[in-house]
Amino acid sequence: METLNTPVLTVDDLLWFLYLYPLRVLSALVPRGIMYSIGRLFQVRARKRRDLATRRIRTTSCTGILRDRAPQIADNFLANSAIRMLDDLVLSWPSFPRKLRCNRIQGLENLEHGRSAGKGVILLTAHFCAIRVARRYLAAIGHPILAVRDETQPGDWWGRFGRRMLAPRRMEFLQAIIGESVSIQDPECALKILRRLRSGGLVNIHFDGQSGTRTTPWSFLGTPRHFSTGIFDLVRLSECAVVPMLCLGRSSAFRIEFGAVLDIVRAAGRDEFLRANLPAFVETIEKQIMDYPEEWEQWMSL
Amino acid sequence: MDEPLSGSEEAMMREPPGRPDVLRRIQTLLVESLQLNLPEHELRGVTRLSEIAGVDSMAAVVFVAAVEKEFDMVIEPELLRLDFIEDLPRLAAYVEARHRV
Repeated sequence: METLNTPVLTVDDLLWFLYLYPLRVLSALVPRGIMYSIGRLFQVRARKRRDLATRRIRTTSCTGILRDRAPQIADNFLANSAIRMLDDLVLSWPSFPRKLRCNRIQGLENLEHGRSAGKGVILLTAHFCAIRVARRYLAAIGHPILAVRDETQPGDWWGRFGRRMLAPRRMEFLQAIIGESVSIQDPECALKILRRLRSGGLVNIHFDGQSGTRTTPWSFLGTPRHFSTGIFDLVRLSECAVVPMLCLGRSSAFRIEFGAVLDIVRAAGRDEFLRANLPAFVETIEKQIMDYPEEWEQWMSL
Repeated sequence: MDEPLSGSEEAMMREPPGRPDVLRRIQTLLVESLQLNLPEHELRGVTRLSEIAGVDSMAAVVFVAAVEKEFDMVIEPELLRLDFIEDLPRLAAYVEARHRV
């Protein structure tokens, strides 16, 4: 919320202005390798972020992550976050399908198995850097995916200039690069998801998101976290399949893995269903994060 | 702008409004499926989902599933819209028309 103390211009305003205008134009003109180098400039405030990320990684009790590796993971995490932002610029141009290089799609048979019942598939993911690139690629090769997104604007970034001039532009930019999506703020969100599932389609839900009107607490990476229960209502009522999806890399070289269809416990009641299936959902994305911690985007908000 | 009516919806709109007992069953389902604490006399006055505080997007899906189970039917995907689902008399007319076919 804007108060009398809100500055006219913040560093974030300036960085977002550079990102949304000159850097975006530049991304259409210069090779991607040069863009990735320019991306390092966006890490001018990275030391604080690196320290914070290192602390967060160390405080998790993931057995797969050694404490000594935390600084290295934090470095790679920051580099991958910068690359993800530059890949978003790639997606913002109409020519993006020609620029996406998928090295491998693994487990496509799992996706087909999930679709075979005709009740749609929820692609269960965590916030990995390559997810937007992978989704747009999959849509381009005949697997359109409805993405579920949170349109909440981060409130503490902007100065007055940013709030008025850049925040709306950022929202338009995100809508354009994400492609087909439904906002959780949309009053018809769940109905639109159900509609897509009933037509046998694909819906992508980031299970590590913390939005939602109804949530349930559960341990996640050794820390308490609130998970939205909406996905469980949708799975229970639609009887759709749930397929874990992992997307790794960058727009110039990425890969997609579809895991085996999750075994859903068909408990009758809402609470029973949640209790029976929540642990498996959490374990699935925890494993993805522990296997590829440097590609997970959410260390700062853990 | 409203979306154009589908064929099935047009057919339903030609039907007379749902019988009061169908509407009543749907109103009861609304309370049961969403676990609302609503007295009987207030419930009978409810004709739109949005009149009930705290009903969100997911609640609409839970309600749809309850209606489908109760009346042993599947609502067509093109009718899974809030403007259709939340209008209880319209939904009752649709359910009745589907049962008559």
